[in-house]
Amino acid sequence: MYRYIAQRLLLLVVTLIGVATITFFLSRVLPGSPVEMMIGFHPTAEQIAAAKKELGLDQPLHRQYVRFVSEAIRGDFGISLRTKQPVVEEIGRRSLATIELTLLTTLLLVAVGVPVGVISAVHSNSPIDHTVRTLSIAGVAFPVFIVGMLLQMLFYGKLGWLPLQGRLSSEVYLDHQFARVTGMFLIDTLLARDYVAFRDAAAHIVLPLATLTLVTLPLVTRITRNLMMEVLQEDYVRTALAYGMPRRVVYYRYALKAMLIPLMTVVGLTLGFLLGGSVVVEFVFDWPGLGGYVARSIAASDFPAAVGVTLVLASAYLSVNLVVDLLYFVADPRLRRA
Amino acid sequence: MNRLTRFLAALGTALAMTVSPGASAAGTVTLLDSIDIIDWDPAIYYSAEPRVVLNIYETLTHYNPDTGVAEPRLATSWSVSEDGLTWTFNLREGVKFHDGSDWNAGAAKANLDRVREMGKGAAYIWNAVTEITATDAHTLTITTSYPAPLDLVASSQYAATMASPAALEQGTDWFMEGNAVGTGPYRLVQWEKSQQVVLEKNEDYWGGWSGDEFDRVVYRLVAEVATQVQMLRGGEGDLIVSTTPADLLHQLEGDPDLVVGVFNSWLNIPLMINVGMAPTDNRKFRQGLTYIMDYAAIANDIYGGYGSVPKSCVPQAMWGAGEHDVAQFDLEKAKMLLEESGVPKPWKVTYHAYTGRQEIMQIAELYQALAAQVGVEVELLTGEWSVLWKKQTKQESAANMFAVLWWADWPTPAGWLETMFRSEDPIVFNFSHYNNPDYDAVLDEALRLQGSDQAMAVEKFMEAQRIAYDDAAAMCLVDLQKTILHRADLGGVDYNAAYETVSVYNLRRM
Repeated sequence: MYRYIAQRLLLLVVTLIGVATITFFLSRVLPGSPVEMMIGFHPTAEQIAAAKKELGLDQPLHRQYVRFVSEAIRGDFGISLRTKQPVVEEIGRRSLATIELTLLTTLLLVAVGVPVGVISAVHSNSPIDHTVRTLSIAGVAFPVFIVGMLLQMLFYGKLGWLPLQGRLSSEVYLDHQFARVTGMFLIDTLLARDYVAFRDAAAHIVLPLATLTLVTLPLVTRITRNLMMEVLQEDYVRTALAYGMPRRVVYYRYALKAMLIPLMTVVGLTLGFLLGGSVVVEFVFDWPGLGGYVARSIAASDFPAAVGVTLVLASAYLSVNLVVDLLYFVADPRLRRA
Repeated sequence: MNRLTRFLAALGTALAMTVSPGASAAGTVTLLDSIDIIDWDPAIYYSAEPRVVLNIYETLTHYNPDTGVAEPRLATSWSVSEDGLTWTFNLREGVKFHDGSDWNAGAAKANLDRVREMGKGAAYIWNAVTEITATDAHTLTITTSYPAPLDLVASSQYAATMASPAALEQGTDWFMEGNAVGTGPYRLVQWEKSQQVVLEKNEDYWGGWSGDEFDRVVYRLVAEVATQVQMLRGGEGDLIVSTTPADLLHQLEGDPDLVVGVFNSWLNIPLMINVGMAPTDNRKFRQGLTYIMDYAAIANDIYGGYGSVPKSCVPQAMWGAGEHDVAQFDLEKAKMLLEESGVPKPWKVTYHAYTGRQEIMQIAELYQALAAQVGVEVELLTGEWSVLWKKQTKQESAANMFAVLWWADWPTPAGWLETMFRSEDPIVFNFSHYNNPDYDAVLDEALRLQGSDQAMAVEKFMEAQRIAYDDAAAMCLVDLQKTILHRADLGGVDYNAAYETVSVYNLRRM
């Protein structure tokens, strides 16, 4: 098993080097130089030349690559051309905002999506099942930004219950300054015992969280339902039921266990997707996460930021997959023995 | 997606939103902006920063667009020597920076020397300057190598704002952490990256306080226009400092809570015609092309009435623009000129249209459709602004036509006539590849005169424009107006074409 982990880790490193190299060369080869944009509205020819020199863009490509690699190894991805902030610092700050949102989404997915899927499968072709399936299709069909904006209109515009955008209210940012220990405001405010700020942070995360959950929930629900339907056909389920075992035990202890591995894969992939794929939600709710950062960086040909964030997202995705694979060992005793 | 979001915004406005969940606290005004500060260093910033920082920093002089002259701000008076080469600024006394240090000639010199040394941002505006001397505590003497209108240069929103010398010593990195120390009515108290910037009243402001100004200013960063509008309707925001699209403004016209302020601006769109590339190397052919555009449709339909048909490629709100006999929409005349040009058919031109601004694309499509009616095929080549910019500067990758949204850094028609039309090598912004020694000579004369004799300079600038229009080096598509959407209970909203900002000092809750 340790050998397996070591192999996977090695593979992860090799993949990351590949990703870094490809994104580096892609960003340099594609047309469009961000330098002119970076130095403002009406730069002079000398300023453009000076900025290129400062960024090392006047050097031949292989030299630029060597410089990039040696800096990247030291954890330095340079300064974003668009925001002029160090890429590493900005990615760090933004990834924590993203992690806060996506981890909560994933928890909700498991806590709500799986039971709903099981119920739907157990009562297949009943009114409950039809309702769940209809809602699932609707959830998949609705574009993310429509769901987000409809929620905004309802809960901010019409009802006035929840804030519209941002991570905190202006006043709370200003008057409730708490230590940013983890970068996840829900945890930081609790650590600081600042309950006003906690309530504010919680109120602000509800709508983006609900939007992300609503659009990813159908996938988890439907897959759970389909997997469950298959398992329910198995002989041992029928036998258990015939022996008069309580239904709850059969469904949730035996049947659910049998479908744990494919389910973990789906949840893992969803989490990996959400890390970089919540762009739209981040735009609609001004959530300062990674998705919006990567989208804007690419649009502005901001290559230090684009390369940095691609690497971070790639490693996050690969790590999530690795963790899921390792969880297989926990979930399936047969693998442990093999 | 843009159009759809706007449709949704309209839908949202339709859902009568009467509740105001997070109405601004008393004494606080909330301005909504779409992009974060990029550079905090006053010697470097060169983007949308003036929206915020011009409430923190001040300049020596302040441009008055109604009179076309500079007025006192941190300098109370100034004079220029006979030869136009030595400027003396008398500085305002009793002014303090937000850190408590004194505003004086030493501070002014430190700022301007630093700008010139660093050579970043809009530092070029001081190119004429050879030496800056603090003659005494409140007298600043600046000598130049050629006569330049330093009183106007000093009013620039870029590279001319004054920061405390102690702050300058801390350097760029310190500024970039979100620091700003000026003399203005508001001081910076917080920068929460990609979320908000907060300013508070500078109690010791030299201009004094009447008591009903705002104590606190929050610039909240809201990326989506639709969200900004919702916040305004909900009372959570008071004013949108970034641009709100014209069609959305029209949808909001009936709303009693909101007001659209419309102001003159220096924004316009010249469509540059490449004189160095067939078939637009033919002057008659170029002239023909200029009659193809429906100028009124751009102002009234594409820009929804928030624009006007131009009389020059320099906006009418800028001094020295003048009214010229620029081309009108006339397909018959276009056809005649094209025929006379002798350019063999089929007529075909390429046209660079950059993405990211829907109006630029709509203009290109309009032109393409109209040109087809007179037998000119327009091939639209689209791409990012930075990509097309680079392509257009090199003849082998340039297009025949390139429309660009333009403005000036400081109050001078040279922002168009020098930057876009003067011959240059390498090409930076002369997208027409225009190279006419006669034009250059007249323009250079105007540039020399603008410091000493504005009336004469205007005449020369007008002459230069006439030469460029006779050569059909560009089409002047539209003069744009600045629109500012705000709540009806916010008074004192004003906009000066020279400054991309709303002065919070003048705002009041009504």
